[in-house]
Parts: sequence; C-alpha cells; structure tokens
Amino acid sequence: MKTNELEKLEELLFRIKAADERFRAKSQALSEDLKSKIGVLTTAEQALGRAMSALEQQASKRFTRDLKK
Amino acid sequence: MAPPTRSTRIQRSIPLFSAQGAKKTKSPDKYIVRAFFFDIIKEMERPSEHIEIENIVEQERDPMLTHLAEYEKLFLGARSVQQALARTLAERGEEIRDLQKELGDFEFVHPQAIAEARRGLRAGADERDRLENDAEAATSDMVRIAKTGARWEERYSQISGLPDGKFVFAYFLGEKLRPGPAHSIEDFPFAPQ
Repeated sequence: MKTNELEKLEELLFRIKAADERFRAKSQALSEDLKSKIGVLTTAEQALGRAMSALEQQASKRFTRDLKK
Repeated sequence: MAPPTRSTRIQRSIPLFSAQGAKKTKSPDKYIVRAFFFDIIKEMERPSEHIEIENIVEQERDPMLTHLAEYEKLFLGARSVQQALARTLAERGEEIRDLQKELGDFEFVHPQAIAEARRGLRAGADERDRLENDAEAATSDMVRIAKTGARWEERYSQISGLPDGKFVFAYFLGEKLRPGPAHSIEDFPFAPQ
C-alpha cells in the first residue's frame, strides 16, 4: 500500500472516530435535556390543570351569583 | 460536515403597559406577552438555532395568564431542544452515509481496517436509530402537552374573553407537530410585524 493512501485512510478512520464521539456527546446531552424538560412540563401540566379547575369553579360561582341578582 | 450551530439567548422584560397598545385593547400587557411568544417562534424557524428563553413574564396582573405563559415558555424551551436534537440526528445520518461512501474508496486497499471501520459506523448508526426512537417518543409527549395547552388556553379564553388565548399551541398542533392545515406566522393577528 502506498504511504499516501495509508495516510488518507488513517485520516478517514480518525474522522470517523471523532464524528462518533462528537455525536454521542451532543445527542446524549440534548436527549437528556429534552427528557428533563418534558418531565418538568408534565408536572406543570398537572399544576395548571388544578389551577384551571379552580378558576372555572370561581367563574361558575360568579355566574350563579350574577344570575341571582 | 455539519453546519455550525449557534445559540440565541432571549431575555426580555414584559412591560405592564404599552402606551401604543393601550389605545387598542383593554389589556395590552396580555397581548404583548402573546406577541413575544410569536417573536420566539419566529426565532425558532431559523435553522441551526437553539433558543434559550428567560424571564418571559416578569410582570403580569392575571395569575392564571402567568401560569399559562410559564407553561408556554417551558413548551417553547422543550421544542427548541427537540428541534436541535432532530437536526443533530439528521446531520448524523448524512454524516454516516458520507463516511460509508468515503470508506468505499479504500475497500480493496486495506480490507481488514475497512471492515472494522464499517462495524464502527454500523454501531454509530444503531446508536443514532436508538436516539431517534427516543426522539419520536418525546414528540408524542410534546403533542400531548401541546394538546393540553391548546385545550386550557381555549378554556381560559372562554372565561377571560381573551381572543388570542389558544394561538401559540394551535400553531404547533396545526403546523409543526402533526399534519394539518398550514399556517403562516403572519396569519396570527398578534404576531409581531
């Protein structure tokens, strides 16, 4: 094998390894971040549901009170 | 080679009143909050962008709207990461294809090294596929969250009389997260011009 070709192959193998490491680091971080954010959103979803129910109850009471007037 | 990514940090205080808006609406601050969300959505349309959102609602008179705005802020933050992950996965797919092609040029030069490199690339592709499955599961969660958001905004809109209550989530449900009628950002009445 020519030295030039071997050098090119080595460079390619190095790039393959570097690309793999870069991807793993970046994608894992993003994936974890997304999972964490969805977890927070799911908690917020429940809290907002409770707040919304309370607001609807208040609105309903206000409506009934206004009807009686 | 993947294009360079850049990060945008959005930080803005929401004024309680806008002199200009006050002439047009009874609750200008609420409309300003909405307009700001569309500002963020517009930013998110740009490729290679990772948006970090801070302090969207600093001053808000209506506690329920603050809750909703916070929920939307969280959603937009997650959406930004979801987009960044999708771009990373797509770029990696292209990268693996390109590298496999390049390896082909050395096929008969050093078969043993090439076979090993191909195994490595296959493992990389498997990892990418696994993360893509995770990303699809996350998208299902995002759809559920957006549907909930749209429902609550609509209910809040009915109670408060705010006509623009559901537009942020309607945008994602209609345009981005599932097939449906296409909307342009300019179609929304309170989108910033």
